[in-house]
Amino acid sequence: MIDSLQGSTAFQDEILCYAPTADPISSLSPPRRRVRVELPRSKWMADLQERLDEITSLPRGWDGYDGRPVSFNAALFAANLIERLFVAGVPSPDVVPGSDGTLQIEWHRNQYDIEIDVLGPYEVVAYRRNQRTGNEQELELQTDFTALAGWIDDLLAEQQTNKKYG
Amino acid sequence: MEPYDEAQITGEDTIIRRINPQQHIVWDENRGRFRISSKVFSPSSEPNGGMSVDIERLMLADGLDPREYVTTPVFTGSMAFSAGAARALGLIVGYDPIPTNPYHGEVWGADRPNRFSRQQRKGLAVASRWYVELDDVDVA
Repeated sequence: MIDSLQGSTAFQDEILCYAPTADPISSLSPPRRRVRVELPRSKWMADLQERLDEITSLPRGWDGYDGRPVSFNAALFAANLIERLFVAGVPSPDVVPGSDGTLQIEWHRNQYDIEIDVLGPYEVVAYRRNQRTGNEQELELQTDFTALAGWIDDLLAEQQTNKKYG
Repeated sequence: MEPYDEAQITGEDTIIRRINPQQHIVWDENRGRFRISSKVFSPSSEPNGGMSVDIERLMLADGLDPREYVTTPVFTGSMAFSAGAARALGLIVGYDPIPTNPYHGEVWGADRPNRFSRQQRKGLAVASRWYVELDDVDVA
């Protein structure tokens, strides 16, 4: 059991948390209870799992100065946000660490620049620029991320328009 | 180090920020090219921590080649902006020598030292140029 945990990483597929040792009195098989931690199943998270592991494991000074690894809390929140925002057909975002242990989720495609700066759990600054119109938006978000879902929908809509009209 | 604006750092002084190509570069489908993420302009998380930089003039005064000094096998690229450009964005620039880098400086937010606004980050990106260029990567 311990061996199985030693090789685990923060965003691994499954964590086997608990299995009691055999009861020396009983001849029955020891009860086993597998506790599952539900993990995201979207393609984005499948694509980004390794990347999130990487940026939470960065060595101190990874930025050439005194940069610290992305905090687990920020990465976990970002993972949940990414999962909630997932829309099939939109490619996975890039994820970029900050020197301060925060991270940014980015898309630069379909005439949009979208940057979602995750400063910590429930502390997000989001920016979008429409290259076609030059319109820029900046939002400070804490609990309601509905606007971001709309941004991703727009990303998909633009992508489908581009496909349709070449 | 308490944030302060160093008078000896003139508006024309070159401020260097190192780039980690494995972490700071993203794909821009709109351009069909790689670019530096705006996230590169992040202060540290320490209460009085600003964004770490290298001060070119100090290296030149010591007879060093700054491009060589800031380039290592890991940090193969770097960007630069003028101290004046940072100040025009409401940021302040000071020396912060450390044992491993006597040419180390900091760029601080004026209101919150360790927090830059989106406009300040964008402004730094616009004001920046390559110092040691990475092939086929746009600055911003």
